[in-house]
Amino acid sequence: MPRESSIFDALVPSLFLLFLGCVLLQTLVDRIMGRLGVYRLVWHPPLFRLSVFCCLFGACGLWLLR
Amino acid sequence: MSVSVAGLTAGVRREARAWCEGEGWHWVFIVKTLLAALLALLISLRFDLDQPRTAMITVFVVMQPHTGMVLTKSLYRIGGTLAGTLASLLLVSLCAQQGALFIVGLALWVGGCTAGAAFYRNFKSYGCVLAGYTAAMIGIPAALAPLSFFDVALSRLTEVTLGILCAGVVSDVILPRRLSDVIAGNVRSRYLELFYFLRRALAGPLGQKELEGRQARIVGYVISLEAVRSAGFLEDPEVRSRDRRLRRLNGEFMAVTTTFHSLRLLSQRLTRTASPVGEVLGTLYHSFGSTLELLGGAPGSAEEAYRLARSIAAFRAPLRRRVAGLRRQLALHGPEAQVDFETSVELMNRFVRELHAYSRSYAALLSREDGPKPPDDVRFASRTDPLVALLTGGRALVAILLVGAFWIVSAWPYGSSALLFVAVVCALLSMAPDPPKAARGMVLGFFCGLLAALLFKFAVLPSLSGFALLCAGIAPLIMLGLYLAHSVGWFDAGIGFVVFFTTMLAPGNPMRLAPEQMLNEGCATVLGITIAGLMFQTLFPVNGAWLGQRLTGQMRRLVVLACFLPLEGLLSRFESGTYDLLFKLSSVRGEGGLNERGIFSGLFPVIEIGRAVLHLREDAASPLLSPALSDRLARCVREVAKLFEQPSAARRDRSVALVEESIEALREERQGCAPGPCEPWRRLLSSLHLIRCALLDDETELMTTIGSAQPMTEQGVADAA
Repeated sequence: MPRESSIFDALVPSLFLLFLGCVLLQTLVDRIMGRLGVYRLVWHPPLFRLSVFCCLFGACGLWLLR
Repeated sequence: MSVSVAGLTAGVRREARAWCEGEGWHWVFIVKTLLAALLALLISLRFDLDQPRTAMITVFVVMQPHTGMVLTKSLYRIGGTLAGTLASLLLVSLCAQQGALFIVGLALWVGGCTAGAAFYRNFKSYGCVLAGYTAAMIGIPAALAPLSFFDVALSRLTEVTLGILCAGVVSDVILPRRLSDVIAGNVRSRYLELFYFLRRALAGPLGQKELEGRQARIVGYVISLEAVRSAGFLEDPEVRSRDRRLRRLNGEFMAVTTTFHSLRLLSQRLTRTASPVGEVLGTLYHSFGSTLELLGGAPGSAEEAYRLARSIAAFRAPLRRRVAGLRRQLALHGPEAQVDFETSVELMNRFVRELHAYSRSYAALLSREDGPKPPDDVRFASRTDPLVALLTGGRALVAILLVGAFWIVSAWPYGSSALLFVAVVCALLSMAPDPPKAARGMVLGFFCGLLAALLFKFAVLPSLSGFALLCAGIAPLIMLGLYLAHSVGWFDAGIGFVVFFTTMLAPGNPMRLAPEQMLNEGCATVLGITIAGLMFQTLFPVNGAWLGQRLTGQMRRLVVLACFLPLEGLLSRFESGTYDLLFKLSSVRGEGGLNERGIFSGLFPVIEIGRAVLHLREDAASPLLSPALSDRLARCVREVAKLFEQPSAARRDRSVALVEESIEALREERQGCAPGPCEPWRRLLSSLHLIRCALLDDETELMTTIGSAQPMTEQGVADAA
């Protein structure tokens, strides 16, 4: 996977695209967890959300740059 | 000794708790904003971004006390930022060579965004603010050096986005003030407020001033719950699952307060005319008051709330008995007194029913059980006046055009920074309730910010080294500005101070210390802002009186709509629309004639008529009525609609005559009919009677419009009742 991808000839860091993808993924995961009531079991839901996002983004980034 | 120490610590603890509830949250917010700004500064310094100050300013622009979900809310803002970037790309690519054309294009864009921000609420509004703000931030520097547009745009976009993300993450992760807590607080305190108000009002007459104040608070609760509810919808899955119930609660709350006001007004009219019904109603009133008094203070738990709801329901049986007794007693006093009496009884019944429904909903909300969901039929209708939004946008447009023209004509070297900040200030002002006043505050804030930045940059900064010391140095000044922004009436001055202090300080790596350039730029900007402020003061001055007239006109329009639109869900839409307008009216501080007389007492009869018309339309469809009577009632409704479309004394007289005829016809038909269920008749009678009373009330806003308003005379009171 290249470090930069070209969109209409503009070079965009692949990590940025990945970030956007992870945001979408996160909203999906968030909906599901909200529906299942996971957040009621968590001490600090926003922190939990942020951590989930970091995990998602970190995992995808490592996978991309491996 | 030990006792006094214990007492002391208890006192200190109590004080501390009170502080935490009120002032404490302000400080939390201030520290959070500061942290977010410093985080944005650190990251942009670390990544060697062009202008770390842009990220910091963005934090100040977007930070709000209650923030929701980091990503969802920020997405709207980032979307707005992207739209602004694209707009600036278009502008620069089309007309970079033609300064005038560029400025016209920019003015149109920022004006449009400002109008959009004033028109929409919540998310869309933020998006519009950011779109206008970013277009100015990127477009103006880029137009001066079109070849480097892409780099400038990219770094501004990065900085703005960084600011948005920092603000979002910090406000959500560190001591978040969750919207669901705010909602719970609102629901609870308004419940207390309502019951306190009822007790006070039932115990004896209230002063005009206190009444207006309490009413304004009640309306404020309704609107703030609606705002928080719609924002929380995106934040919290829990809010989403309770959403219908909250909407229902809001609707019931409005219904209860409106009915109670009708009741109060009616009893006031009756007491003033010394009608025998007034006395009788007074005793009913007091007996309900003492029932409420017996129920005591605030229910702490769901069970207590349910118990309270049950005892309100239990009041219905004694009420019915008493009413039956009083009706026999009053039968001697003639038909007019009977109409008054039946109307009061109907209102009283409705009030008890609605109060019961409201307390039940409150209890259900407290118990957090997953009962059956209420039907999804309550909508909150809020509308912004498009004309007001357009005017706000128009002022932004003219301000930018003027400053831009001055820049071009005078070949002013620092015109660009003046123009940039005019655009930024216009975007900031678009969400302010009273733009001219906000503009004044902003100018003051910018001026102080410039002075503070000058002193700080050339007296303090040279002796600081390293990021930590820089933070320690700027923190007190930023906190001062943020604290100001949190004090009532100083919001704009505080925000202006912080934004401009940061801009002029321009922290960077390496720091550029150029006093003469900074002075030039600062003076140019303050001049530009002053021009923008003058524009906002003088151009289409949307002052209190004008806005008040406009809003009352909208209120009349709501009544006209209530006469025509299909009935389904109309009652809740009408009610929420009127509350929305009342809220806007109460935030209009001006020399408008309305405020002197009191918004609520002036406008309440208008709301009363609208509600009565809705009830009338519902009941007029009843199969128990003869077709002739149904037709007559429909004619009444049409006549009222005409009156509210174009108020005139002749129309009013015609409406009153029609309503009176209908009351007569209704009474005759009822007497000719077998004694059966009398509910629809009583309801119709009371609706008609309420319409008549409200139409004859000379104190209302409607009558002022007609121009037949006379000082309240005894004769007028007697007629009204």
